[in-house]
Amino acid sequence: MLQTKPFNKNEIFNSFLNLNGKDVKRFSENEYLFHQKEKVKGIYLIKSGIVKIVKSGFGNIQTILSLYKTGDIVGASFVSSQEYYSYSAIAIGKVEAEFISTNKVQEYLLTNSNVRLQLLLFLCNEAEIKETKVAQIAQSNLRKIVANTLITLYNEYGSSRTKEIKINLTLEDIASYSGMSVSYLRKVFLYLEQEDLIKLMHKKSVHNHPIQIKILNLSELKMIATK
Amino acid sequence: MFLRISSRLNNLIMYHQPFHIESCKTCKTRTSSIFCCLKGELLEDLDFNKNCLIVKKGQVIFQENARPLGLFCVHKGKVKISKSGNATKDQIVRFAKNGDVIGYRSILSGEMYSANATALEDSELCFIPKDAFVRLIQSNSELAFNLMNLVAKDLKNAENKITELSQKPVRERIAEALLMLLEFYGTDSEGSIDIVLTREDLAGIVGTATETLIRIISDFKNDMIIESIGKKIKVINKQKLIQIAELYD
Repeated sequence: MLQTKPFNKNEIFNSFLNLNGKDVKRFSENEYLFHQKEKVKGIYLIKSGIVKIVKSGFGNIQTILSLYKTGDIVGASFVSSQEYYSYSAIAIGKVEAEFISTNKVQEYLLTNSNVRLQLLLFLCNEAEIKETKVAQIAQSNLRKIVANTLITLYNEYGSSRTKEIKINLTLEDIASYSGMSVSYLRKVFLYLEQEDLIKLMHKKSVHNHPIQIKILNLSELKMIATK
Repeated sequence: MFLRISSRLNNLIMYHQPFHIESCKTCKTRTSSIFCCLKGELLEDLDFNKNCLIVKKGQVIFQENARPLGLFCVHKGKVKISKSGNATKDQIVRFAKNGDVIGYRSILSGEMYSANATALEDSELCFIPKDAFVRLIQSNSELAFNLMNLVAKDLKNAENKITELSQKPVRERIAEALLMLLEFYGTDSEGSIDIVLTREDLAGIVGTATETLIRIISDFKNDMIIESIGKKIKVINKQKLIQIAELYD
């Protein structure tokens, strides 16, 4: 019986990393890797740093859809036939990435069935994550959404030693990523702090200044997220 | 005469009603599916391995957390794909119509189905077993690219949905949902959106309470933007609906 491979993010990343003809690009904080509605040029393999994927709606309100870090691929969903990027990619802090043009990616995919399958799995995984998030945002209460966001951030960027979430996000970023307003997020954070589930390292978060979060009770947060 | 096949693994039950099994070579629906690129031996392989079945309205085609045996191509009909958000409510994440394939992601990843698929009306489906599908994907680059486009489109729709849920008030989301359904399913002979959805289902697409949806639909009717013919909805003033939806993409 033919077996499909389980999704292996490192395998697809390393496959593209071994390709010739890449371009190393460096981005400083808040610099755009690409803009929403810009013509698709290629993909970025993140070698260091964190990139936020942001979609602007009517009135230029921005929603953070994803956060990508070292070992992630940005822009992969556009290489098959999309003409324009449907979101922007912005560096949080310094980012180093390898850029591969769309033509090179398509050439590689045409001749390599294993990489094609891996890229398909990568995209399927991305679609699953996003559709699950749709269900969460549409149905969950604010407390549950915030608990899910904190757990996701902790799993990706948390330090098991200090229990801190090690990523420079502002309150506005976290609210955007959770799909809610800053005022609602503040209220939920206040309740979670009062219940000794989290600790915000700065009592008064300054507008657009990164906020530091320490997770005090992960198991309780998980219970809220799954209730 | 019905032949009931129960899945050896889980709650998947298919009612197999014999009907004229059209060959993939002559199937018009295939031309609008990801399999449109197949020719020769590969097309024969697909034709040989597929099984056709009829599902009744409301029937579950596959369930979340069931083991995938293959994927389904909608030959004729309408299917909703939903995820269990909380214990009492399903969130509709997308729809499938003639030519669309469902259940393929779990086949590729080897994991359980991550969503439920339910027939919205009596539908004819073609079931393609896992082995046959994986063989086709590995042998034909164009099929793989078609599938990539399909996944990319689902991904983009989910991203739009997240943005919409985060940014738009309910009224705008309802307007956008009606426009999306109109574009996806078109209209029937009476000019109504060619799909029957319960108010609960519609509320599920939008991500709001049923009561809120009913109230806003009522407002739209009073403002002569839509009218309802039974459960079906007819868009009378599409421009107004677009204005309310504040479509940006």
